[in-house]
Amino acid sequence: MGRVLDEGTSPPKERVDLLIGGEVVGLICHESSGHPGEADRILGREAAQAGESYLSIDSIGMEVGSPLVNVVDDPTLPGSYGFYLNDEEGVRARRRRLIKEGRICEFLHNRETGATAGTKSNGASRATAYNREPIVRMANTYLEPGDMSFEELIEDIGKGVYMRNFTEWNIDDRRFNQRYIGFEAYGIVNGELSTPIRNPTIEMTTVGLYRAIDAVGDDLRFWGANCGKGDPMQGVPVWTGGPTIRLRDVNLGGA
Amino acid sequence: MDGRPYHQVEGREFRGCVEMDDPEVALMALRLAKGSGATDAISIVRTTDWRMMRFSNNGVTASKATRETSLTIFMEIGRGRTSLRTTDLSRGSIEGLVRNASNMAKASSEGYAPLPEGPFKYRRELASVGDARLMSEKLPDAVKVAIEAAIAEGAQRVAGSLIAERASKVIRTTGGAKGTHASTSYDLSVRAFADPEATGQFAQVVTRFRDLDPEHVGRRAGEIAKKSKNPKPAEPGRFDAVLGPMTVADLMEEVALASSAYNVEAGLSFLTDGLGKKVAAAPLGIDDDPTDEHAPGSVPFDDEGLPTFEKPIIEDGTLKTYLHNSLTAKKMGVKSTANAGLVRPTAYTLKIRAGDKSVEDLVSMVDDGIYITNNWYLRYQNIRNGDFSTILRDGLFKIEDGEIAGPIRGLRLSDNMLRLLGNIHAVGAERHWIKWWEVDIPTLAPAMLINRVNFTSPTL
Repeated sequence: MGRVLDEGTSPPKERVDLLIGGEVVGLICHESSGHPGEADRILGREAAQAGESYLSIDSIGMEVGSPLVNVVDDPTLPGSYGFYLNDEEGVRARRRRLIKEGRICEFLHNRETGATAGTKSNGASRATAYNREPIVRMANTYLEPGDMSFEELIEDIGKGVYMRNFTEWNIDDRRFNQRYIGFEAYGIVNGELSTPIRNPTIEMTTVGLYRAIDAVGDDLRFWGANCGKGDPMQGVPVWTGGPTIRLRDVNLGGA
Repeated sequence: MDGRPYHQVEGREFRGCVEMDDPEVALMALRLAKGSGATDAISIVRTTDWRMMRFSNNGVTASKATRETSLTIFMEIGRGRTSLRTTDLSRGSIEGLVRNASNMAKASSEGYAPLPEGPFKYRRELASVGDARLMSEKLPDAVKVAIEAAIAEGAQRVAGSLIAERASKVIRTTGGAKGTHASTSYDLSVRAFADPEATGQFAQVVTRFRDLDPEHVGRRAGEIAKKSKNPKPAEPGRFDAVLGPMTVADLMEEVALASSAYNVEAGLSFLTDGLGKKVAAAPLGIDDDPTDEHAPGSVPFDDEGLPTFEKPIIEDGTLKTYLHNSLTAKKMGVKSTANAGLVRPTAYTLKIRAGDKSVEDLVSMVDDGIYITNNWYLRYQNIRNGDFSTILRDGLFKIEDGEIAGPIRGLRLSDNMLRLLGNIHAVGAERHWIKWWEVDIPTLAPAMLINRVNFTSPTL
């Protein structure tokens, strides 16, 4: 942090290639893939509080990202922060593929939303206590890894920015307009990391961001988080995860 | 109304075999704390009856009810202090709570500040604020009225929540404070959809059910939604902006949080080093007034038993005080402002001083600008210097030549708190009591005109 404060320079104004570290990628998947994929939001049940979704119930198959984008929510990962084997409605938990090869594949359902949507619950009903309403929640949401090393991701970038992690973020209630502020970040010059960059900002639409992904790293990692939803608020433990990803020729935002 | 209501009713908390009322529980806990070596101790028993009706797609989707009694015990031993809470009011549980609090206080070294010395006299009119009982049976009709009002204004779908709460609080301290307080509140929030991207929201909080105006709240949400149809993408940049009361309440709550001496000391305030200085433009005045018997959030005593009083936080743009409990006051060499919070001092009820302009007047003062009706998800990039952004949602309108030109979408307010406060140009005359998902502290908020507000939009 000292280096960022002492040596950090302003983010570039021109278009650059962008490497986003797994901690940010995990948050992106949680906020703009997991939340808009919650069927109670899609059906309007959270409209006045947590909000709705840019997706509709018939968006299955809709192309929202490049073919490299595969987002999963899986409560059954052993040892994970969002681990459970049966949800709060007694439904067996299983892995859910939210986005498969860039297309919406599956939503998160409890029994009520599953029945309303003409399908079944996929075990996404969670509550924080015996006296709280079970609602549709994520568990461990992540971008599946690709096969490129970090060195391969960076080697042909002439001018770019690497945002390793973040300070803060926000996103609209339809989960379409999102913003992430970089914390530890560096410039990239001719395939190598250079000086620290202070607070680069990703401010992009969900489909704009996912469609710009042109490479996915093999360095998948997970981070613990507490996801807030419901009224009264219910914070549930989750993992967010991802590998490093690369976006080509994009503008940073936040000006 | 359609939809499948979810009904949830909870029983009373577990009290074991002990049959004591709340004052008796508070007294017993205080005696146990003194017996375990506390230099100073506070015992607070809170009982909350809470009802919620949630609605969406024009129908009720959840009806919830909870009743909970909790005991909070605070102990100071030497330079150590701690505060613990339980909802298990059996004697064994309370004894265990005090034992744990004693051990934790001995292990801490936060600093000692003597509790306020009573006995105190509290305002009699604040002993019971609002209705004598919770008007639960009236909630369904109020929801129905709100939904129908929004639809009558052009909404296709309506969502929201109506929360009714009756809270009581009993306090006993080793400083001789002995008080009881009860209040009711009703919070209504309505969000109307004229189409998926044309939404409007409004909210109201009152202490007496008869003051709740669901027809007005629903109508206002519906009006905004209808006017928001077919929004155009907006250009980012710096514009003069008229902020409606929902957004003003959210921003002013942030100012109140930043005025907590605890946040100042912790480096979590953009008002650090601002005491006695101009931190805002002259039109801004913010008062914390927990003494108004008709105001939501009013309370006769703070969590240290000190009688509350009305105080300006910001007056004519000058920061007049931080909010204190005994410990933060001692550290800063001042008197407590009766805003304890055993750990973090906090405002109870915010009143933003009214100006003399109608919303139409404020809009007419803008040549090229933006009218904001609501926002959410306010987060700091740097809480110490006040850099933040927040999503603008529901009705968002372009202002051209002093008039509303049409709806827009896709903007984020990305600016700095102190810069915004310094650019307040004018304040509206009409004020509304706001409390909802984004605003915890009941706030009496007007509209405001702020110059040169920075807006950003997605780059991709």
